Amino acid sequence: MPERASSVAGQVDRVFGFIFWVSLVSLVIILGLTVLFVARYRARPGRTQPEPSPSHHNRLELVWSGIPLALVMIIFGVSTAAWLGMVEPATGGDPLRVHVTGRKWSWWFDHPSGKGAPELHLVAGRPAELTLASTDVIHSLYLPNFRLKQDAVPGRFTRMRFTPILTGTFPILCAEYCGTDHSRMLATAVVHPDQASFDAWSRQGTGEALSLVEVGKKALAAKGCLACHSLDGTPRVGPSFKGLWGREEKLADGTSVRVDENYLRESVLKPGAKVVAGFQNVMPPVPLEERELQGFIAYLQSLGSAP
Amino acid sequence: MTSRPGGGEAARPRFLAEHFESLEAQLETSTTGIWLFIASEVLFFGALFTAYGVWRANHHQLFHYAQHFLDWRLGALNTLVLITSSLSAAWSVRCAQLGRKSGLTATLGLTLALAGVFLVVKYFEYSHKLHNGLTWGASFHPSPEVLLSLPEAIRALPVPEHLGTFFTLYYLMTGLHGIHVLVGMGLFLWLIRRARRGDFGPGYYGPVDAVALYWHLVDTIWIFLFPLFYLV
Amino acid sequence: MSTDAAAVAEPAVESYLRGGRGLRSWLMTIDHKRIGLMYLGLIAFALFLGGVFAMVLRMNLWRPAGGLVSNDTYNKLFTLHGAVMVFLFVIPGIPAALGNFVLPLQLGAKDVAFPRVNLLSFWLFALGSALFVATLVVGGVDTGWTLYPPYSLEGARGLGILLALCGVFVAGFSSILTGLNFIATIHTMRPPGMGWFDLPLFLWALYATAIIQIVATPVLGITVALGFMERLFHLGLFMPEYGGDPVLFQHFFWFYSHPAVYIMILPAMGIVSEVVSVFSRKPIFGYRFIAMSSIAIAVIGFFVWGHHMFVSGQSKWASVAFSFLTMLVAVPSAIKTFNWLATMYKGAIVLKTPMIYVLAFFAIFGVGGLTGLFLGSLATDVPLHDTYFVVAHFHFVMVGAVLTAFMAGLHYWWPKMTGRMYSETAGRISAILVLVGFNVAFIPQFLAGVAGMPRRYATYAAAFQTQNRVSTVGAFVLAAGLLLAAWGLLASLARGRRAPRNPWGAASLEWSAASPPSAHNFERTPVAGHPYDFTGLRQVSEEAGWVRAAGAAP
Repeated sequence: MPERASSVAGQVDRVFGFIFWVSLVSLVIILGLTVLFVARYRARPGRTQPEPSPSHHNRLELVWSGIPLALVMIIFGVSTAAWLGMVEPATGGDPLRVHVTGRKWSWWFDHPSGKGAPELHLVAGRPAELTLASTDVIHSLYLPNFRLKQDAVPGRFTRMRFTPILTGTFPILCAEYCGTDHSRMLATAVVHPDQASFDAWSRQGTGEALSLVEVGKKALAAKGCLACHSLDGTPRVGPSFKGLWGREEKLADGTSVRVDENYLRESVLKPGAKVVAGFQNVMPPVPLEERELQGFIAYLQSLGSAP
Repeated sequence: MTSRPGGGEAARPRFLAEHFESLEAQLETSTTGIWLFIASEVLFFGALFTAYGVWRANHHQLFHYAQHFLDWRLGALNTLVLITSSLSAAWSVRCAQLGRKSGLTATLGLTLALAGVFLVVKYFEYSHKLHNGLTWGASFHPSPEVLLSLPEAIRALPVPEHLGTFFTLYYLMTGLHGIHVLVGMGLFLWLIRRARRGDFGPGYYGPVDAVALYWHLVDTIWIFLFPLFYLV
Repeated sequence: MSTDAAAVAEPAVESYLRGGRGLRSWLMTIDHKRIGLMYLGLIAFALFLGGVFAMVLRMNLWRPAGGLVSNDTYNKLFTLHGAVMVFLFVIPGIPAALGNFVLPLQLGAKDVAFPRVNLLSFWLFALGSALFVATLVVGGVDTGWTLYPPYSLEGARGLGILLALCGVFVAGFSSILTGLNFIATIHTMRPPGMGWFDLPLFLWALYATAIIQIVATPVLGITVALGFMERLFHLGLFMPEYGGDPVLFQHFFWFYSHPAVYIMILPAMGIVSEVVSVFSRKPIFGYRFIAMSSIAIAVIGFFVWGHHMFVSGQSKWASVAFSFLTMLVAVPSAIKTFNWLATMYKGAIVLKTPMIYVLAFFAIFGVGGLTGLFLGSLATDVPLHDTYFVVAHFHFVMVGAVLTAFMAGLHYWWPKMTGRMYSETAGRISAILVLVGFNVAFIPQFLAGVAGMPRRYATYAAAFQTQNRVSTVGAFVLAAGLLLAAWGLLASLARGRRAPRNPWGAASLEWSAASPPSAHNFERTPVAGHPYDFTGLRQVSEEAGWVRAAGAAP
């Protein structure tokens, strides 16, 4: 198995090991009995008829239904507990937010400093939060050393959270079939030993292209969003953007919703779908490009989340 | 199920297929078969109803808006037509069981005619929509006149995106249902021909029973389609 | 002795193979046996075609950089390999070919409930197969057999995908009609004296399969029909660019395609139940548990489809629920396995070809089933999903287990179908080659998957070369085993010894018909006894087969 490079990898491998041993013992029992029975009870001169033995036995049936049932339930419990820890890791510290874009046939990673790169840069020990998008078909970001995988689905955002624990470079692959060069849709994850090293990398050669946050900022200005949504917390025609990210919003229909990537996407493209309580449903749909949407979200994240 | 000529056994009923012992066994088998067929039809439409449900849950406003393009009066008329035809189909089974040949032909004919009425109404609905650019998916471009005909309160709302999807579902589901009606009409024609020949009687009425069951299914599906598209 | 003599001297029965000559008498037949044989022909062709594709794939993977074929060709080949094998071999293989032949015979009936519908399903299947072959002619498709949009429905795609979707749709209808026919037949055409718990277990398995066919296949039909129309008319259901949701397609697709796995494996389990009992000379152990576990698998199998989507972005608690149900479905399979083992216990095990294939089934199904635990469990599925681990797992279950059971059934019923005995030597060697070749081909793929090699890769990292080379060698051994089996069976048509009515000493009704049976199966309606009651059966000679002593229970 590949070297373990994330905080969850150890957990996953423990579950794997547990299932492996349970399976191996079961397999040995099944195959052992098969071989034993064939050897002992093979028809041969002097053994043309079976020995008398019952054709059913309810207690035995209960035993060999009950034991497998108990085993699979233990596996389910152990594995689900580990998995819940994978999808909802304890939020410690300030996560490194990276926007990942899959397209035929390469990956693109926008880092918080504004630097975009065809490789993923992370800091050992600092939690990472990846927001995945796709511009064409479904891809899947697969990090074997981190024991993680998440589909990037066009038309919505998906998320991946983990903490790298090992410094070094690790392969990234596409695991969802996406056409001609699917098998060459590869990238590298670089885990820096500390924040300083990451920052040093971030500063190299920036400036030629707009950072994702700038893309978002520019789109907001260009589309006239700021006329109705302030940046300083004052509610105008619509809610202010300040502190919006991650907030629990009460909606006009009485339900509530957490402000995340997919809520924002919906509210930009279909403003009437979930209207915040206290505001009118007057906003027209704003046709943002995929990259502008990502930029908008990165910009909101940079404005900080609710206390 | 028709018989093959020949066979050594004497006095074998004319419509008893070779691999059955008796007409009762044959009837039981064909009834089981038609119920299984209905089960799979329900699943077939069930997938479409699921697609409808998912879309409705995700695009609540779109459905609220789009439904005003449909005329509920025509839908209600068709509902009435189909329910009556179902009654007459059920009556035809009774006639076949009692061996009333003329009654059987008459009720089958009535069912066929009502199915025809249904399709004529449907034809007017479709052609009106297609004429006004109310088509499926991305090709949806409503004409100004049809937009003007919407109620005041609806016209004030912004036109939702992907309105065409509503019509995609509408054409898919009512279209598939319409194909079932057409198939049903073919079956009734076939039954009428056989009824006039005097094929059916108390001993042998399986085909009438099976087609009537099928027709009730077609009717039931419409009873779900009508409120989902025209009323809700 | 008089009963023996009567059975040995075959009454003059005109075999179903002879009555009615000419192509038309076959193509328009409503005899379930002829229809079964025609299915067998098409299915064997599909297996051959899919196998050739597989061989090219394996040869391309000999080198990490590929190079035998282009990436695009590779992608088309694995798509067609998957689609042909799934839709034209493993799904219809046992139910449509062997099931059609055996089901009425095991019931002592003259035919299935709706013989004409049966012929219609055959023709729909042939049409569906032709549509698949037509995709080859127009340049093939490279979408993967799972047909995930948006990739599969992109605007630039030509005729190929439309033909493939039509092919799935039409073949699906064939499957629905077959299922309908089987359920109606089992319900209404059981002979007097045969209660539900006197059915041969193969029929229980076919019954459970037919339920899935009727309930799940319509959903697949509507899904591919929607895909077809999405591509042509931009409906906006699955494609994000028209406002659709690609994950909805995945739900629809797996709602059919996971139960489809049970359409494949349940009949295979049915064959194993028949063979293991007959060749252990002992009644099957735990009849009711085996029968009911088939139904349990069919029912639970409907609620596990979401385990294909743990990393697709479905909601967290949906994933947990699907994982739980997936774990549950393992239990009925375990029950069956232990019951088969208990059947062998203290038996008199005869190692003829069908039994050797069944022993191979135990090994392969054991590995296939247990590796499913890794994929049903959430934490381990995340890294393993869409890697070679998955490829190896489903080949073990869908190919290895189904194929060995299919071969067991084919050898078991071959004398009944053709009236000839196949060569035991060729059969036994082929079974061993299949077992060895299969394991050599697919165990390395587990290792490659655990090491992180994703599936559907035309090229790969050099680190995986050893696993891939071993796998390719194994694939050739497997192919050799299958070719040997095909040769052994076909050669028997010319040179095989004439088969007696009951060559194996089995107790179910098909063995009381002539080999091969007459057009109406039985000269007189047979009296049903318990299908696993072997008392009174004794072997007259190898040539004359087995007869039931006079006076013994029927």
